[in-house]
Amino acid sequence: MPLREPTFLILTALAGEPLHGYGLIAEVDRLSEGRIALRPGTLYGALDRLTDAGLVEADREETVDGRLRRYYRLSTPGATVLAEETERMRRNVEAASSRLRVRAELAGGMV
Amino acid sequence: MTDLERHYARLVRWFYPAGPRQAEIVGTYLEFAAPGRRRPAFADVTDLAAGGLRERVRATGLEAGARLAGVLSLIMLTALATGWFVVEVTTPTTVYCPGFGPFLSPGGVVWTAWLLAAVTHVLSPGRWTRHAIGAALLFTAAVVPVAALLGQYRPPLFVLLPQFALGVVALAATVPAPIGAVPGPRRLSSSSLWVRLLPIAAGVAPVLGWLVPAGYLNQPADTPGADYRWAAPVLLPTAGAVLLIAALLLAIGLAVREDYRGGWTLLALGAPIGMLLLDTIARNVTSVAAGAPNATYAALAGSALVIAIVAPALLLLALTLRRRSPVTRCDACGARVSRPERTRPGR
Repeated sequence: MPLREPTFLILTALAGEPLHGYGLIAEVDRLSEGRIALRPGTLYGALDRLTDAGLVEADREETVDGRLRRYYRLSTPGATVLAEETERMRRNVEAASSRLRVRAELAGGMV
Repeated sequence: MTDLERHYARLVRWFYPAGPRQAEIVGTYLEFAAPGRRRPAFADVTDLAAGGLRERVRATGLEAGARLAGVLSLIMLTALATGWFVVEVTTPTTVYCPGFGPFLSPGGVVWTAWLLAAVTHVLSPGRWTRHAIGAALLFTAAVVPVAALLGQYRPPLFVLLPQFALGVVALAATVPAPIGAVPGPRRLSSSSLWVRLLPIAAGVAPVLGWLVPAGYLNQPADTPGADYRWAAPVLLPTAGAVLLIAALLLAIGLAVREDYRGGWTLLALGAPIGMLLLDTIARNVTSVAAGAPNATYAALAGSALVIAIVAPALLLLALTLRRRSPVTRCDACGARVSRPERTRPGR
């Protein structure tokens, strides 16, 4: 089953470095160029599922301005799932690009 | 503590189960809030309510159990829809029942919609199946007023109501299973191809096992065929018993492996099983109350109402009791830690 886009982006965000909740929201926003605006309730639901599936792990905790920050990191199985999904998407992109190239060439030849 | 922090803390306490996650969510919301905000936005409240509900449901194991119930429902409703479809195309029309296109009644359209939903589930088990089941549910509900408006015969309510109840539970089969590498339970995931083919196999079974041997597919046009009222009193209670036994065996088999989601499966199937027994229950009620052999409309309606209220009430009661029981969670990440294998999705 392909990963849903928010899940894919959360795993991608964590592939760089461990992030806390707000950092993850900001990174997903940046990666999706503003299309995916996660809210905290949605984010923590996704993190719980990813933690249950063993794809994400707790990294460390910090207290900043009296507020708890818990950092999450991508686990080894999480990196494997992300790599498999990225490969699947890459094959799709290649197939689509190749056919679009052929289409463009045919259209060019007809002019 | 600022006013905004107090508001968020109160909302999180209301909606989320107690645990270390609460302080973390409040902290993230405060970082997320625009400068100068004094109160949570309405979108924050709905986000917290939805997130808290998901978290509570996830903690009980209901979601995984309901997904199994959805698969069993889809298998049963496809088997029934196939049988009723054959009834619709083979029963001869009469002066009083002139037919509806190629069918005996508008019910033929309803069963076609359910069969299409089963095929959609094989091809695309997620969103498209959800839409197909939703459309079939609409047709099932709409056939009653439409048949009344057109003055047409239609399938009886004790046939339509179980199908509707099974369809509602079958929606759970369209919810994707948790992602990740999953050992054993993945074999029971609704996304597995062979599990998706089961409803189609169940659809073929009544044709080969019941209708062909009984000769309903090749009878002359002027002989009486299988009718809803002839088939239902035997078929529906049998289907209810089969569904109950299948769910019980599944629950016991999973419990042997310390996987207790089968309990939720049984509870989620309460309404469909009850509705499959509706005609039998109503007949007994009428027999006791009025000494008549056939169920009255009042007995049918009353029994359906009781089943529609009691079955979800039992599920809610179990959910409430389950929420009160303590669940050991990791202080760091909030995941269950009482048994390592419980971290597997679906448990």
